Amino acid sequence: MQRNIKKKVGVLLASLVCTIMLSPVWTLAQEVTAVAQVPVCTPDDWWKWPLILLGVTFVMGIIAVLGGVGGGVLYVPIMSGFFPFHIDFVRGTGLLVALCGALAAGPGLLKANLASLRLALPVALIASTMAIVGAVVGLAMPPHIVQLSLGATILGIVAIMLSAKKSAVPDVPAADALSSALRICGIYHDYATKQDINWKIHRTIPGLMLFVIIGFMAGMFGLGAGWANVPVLNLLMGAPLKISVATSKFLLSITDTSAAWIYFNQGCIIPMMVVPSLIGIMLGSFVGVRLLKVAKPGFIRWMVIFVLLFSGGKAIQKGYQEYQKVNNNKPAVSQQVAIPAQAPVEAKTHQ
Amino acid sequence: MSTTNAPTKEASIEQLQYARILEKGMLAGLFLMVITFALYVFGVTKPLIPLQDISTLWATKSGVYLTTVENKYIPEGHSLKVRVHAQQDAATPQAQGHESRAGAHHAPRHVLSGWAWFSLLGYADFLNFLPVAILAGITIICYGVIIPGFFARGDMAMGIMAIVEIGILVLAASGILKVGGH
Repeated sequence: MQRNIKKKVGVLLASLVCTIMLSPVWTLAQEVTAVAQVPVCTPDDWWKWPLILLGVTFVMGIIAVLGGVGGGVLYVPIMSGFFPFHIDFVRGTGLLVALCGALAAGPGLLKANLASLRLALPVALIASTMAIVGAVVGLAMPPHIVQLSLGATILGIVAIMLSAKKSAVPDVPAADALSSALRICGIYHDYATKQDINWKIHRTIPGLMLFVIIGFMAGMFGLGAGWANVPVLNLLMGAPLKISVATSKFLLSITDTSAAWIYFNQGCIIPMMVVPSLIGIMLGSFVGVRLLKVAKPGFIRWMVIFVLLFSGGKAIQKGYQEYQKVNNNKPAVSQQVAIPAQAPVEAKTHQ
Repeated sequence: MSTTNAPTKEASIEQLQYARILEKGMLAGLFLMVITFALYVFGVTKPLIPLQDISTLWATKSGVYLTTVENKYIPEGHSLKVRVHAQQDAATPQAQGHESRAGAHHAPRHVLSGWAWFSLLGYADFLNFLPVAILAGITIICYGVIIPGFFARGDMAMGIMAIVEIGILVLAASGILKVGGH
C-alpha cells in the first residue's frame, strides 16, 4: 500500500516536472530570449499569467520542501532563465518569496526555541548590511553580467549540495571568546532522541566573515541564502543541525527584508508577479510538507540538483547571448519589447 | 519562558516577544495581500497600469518600466506627474515640444522610486504594495519591541546590535540609497 503511494507520488512529481518543461510558457520563454515575437499569451490573455505563475510556483513549493531548499533558490534561476520576466523583477520577487517563507516559519521556530535569536542577531547584522550592498551593486550591474554570475552561483550551489556534509550535533570542545561574551549558546529538546541538547558555537569570527559574502550574494541575486547559511552555522560554527536550519530560516526574514526594500524602492516589484508567486509557493509548501512523509528524499534531491544544473546552465547561456548582443551593438530584447506596440508613450504635452 | 541570562530549554522573553509580533505582522500582511490582489485582479478597483499592459512591461528593465509608468500611466495633474515634468524640463530644456520616448530619457532619479507609490494607493495595483511593505517592515517593529528588554537585563551588546540593525533596515526602507542605472 505504502509502496503504491510512493510510486504514485513519484510518478505525479515526474509528470508535473515534465508538464512544466513541455508547456507553451517554456517555449515562449525560450523564444523571447532569441527574438521578440508574437507571444503565446497575448496582452488580452493577461489573466493566464497569474494562473501560470500560481501553478508553476505551486510545483516549485512542493519540490523546494521535498528537496530541502528555499523557494528563492529555485524561483530566481527558473523564472529568469525560462520565463519572459526581466531579471530585475525576478530578483525582487525571489527575495519576497524567500522572505515570506521565512516569515511564515519564523514565529514557530522561535517559540520552539529552535531558532536562536542570540545567534541570529550578530549574523543578521552583517548579512543584512551586505545584502543591501549586494542589492545596490546587483541593480547597477548590466543584466548579462548578473545572468552570468547567477548561473555560476547556481552551479556553485549544486556543488555545495553535492559535497557538503551535515553534522547533527557537531563537537564543539569550547566556545570561543566572542560567542562566550555574546552568550550565544542554548539548550533545546530533541524529540527524536528525547534528549536535551546543550549547544555552543566556536569559530565565530570566521563564520561572521563568511556572512559578508553570503549576505552580498543574497542581495545581489535575490536568492535567499539558506543553501549557504546552514553549512556555515552547522559545519563551521558548530551549531547543531536543527538549530542551524531553524536559525537560517529565521535569519532570511531579516537578511531578505533589507535587500527586498532596495528592490522595492527601485520599482522591481510587480504585484501581478509577486502575489501569485507567493501564494503558489506557500500552498506548494503546505502540500510538500504532507508529501514529505511518503516521498523518496533521494529522488527529490537529485531532481532538485538536476533542475538547478539546468537552470544554472540556462542562466549562463542567456547571459552569454545578451553579452553578444551588447558587443554587437544590437538592442537587447528587453528594450525591443520595452514599449507596447499598440501603446506608444505619449509625447510630453505640457509647456 | 526564560527570564534570566542563563540558557534554558525555553525561549527567552525577547525571543517570544519577537515571535508574537512577527506572527501577527505576517498574518496581517498575507491576509491583506489576498484581499488587495482580489480587488485588483477582479477589477473591483481600477489599476493605474492596465492589466493587458503588464505582460509587456515586466520584460523590460526596472528603469524602463518606471520611465514608462511615469510618462504614460500617471495621470496629468497628479503630484508625481508634475515632478516628472519638472525633472524633464530641468534635464532637457531644449527638447520641449519634442516627443520623448520611454527609456530614451535618463532622469537623475525616478519619480516613482522610493515611497512614491504611497500617493498612488488609490489604484488597485499600487494598493498591493501596502501588504508587501507590511511584510518587509514587520522585522523593524520586532526589533523595536525587544530592545528595552535587552537593556533592562544589562544585555548591552545585544541591545546595541538590535539598535544598529533597526538603523540599517530603516536606511534600506527609506529609499535614500540610490542605485546607478545600467
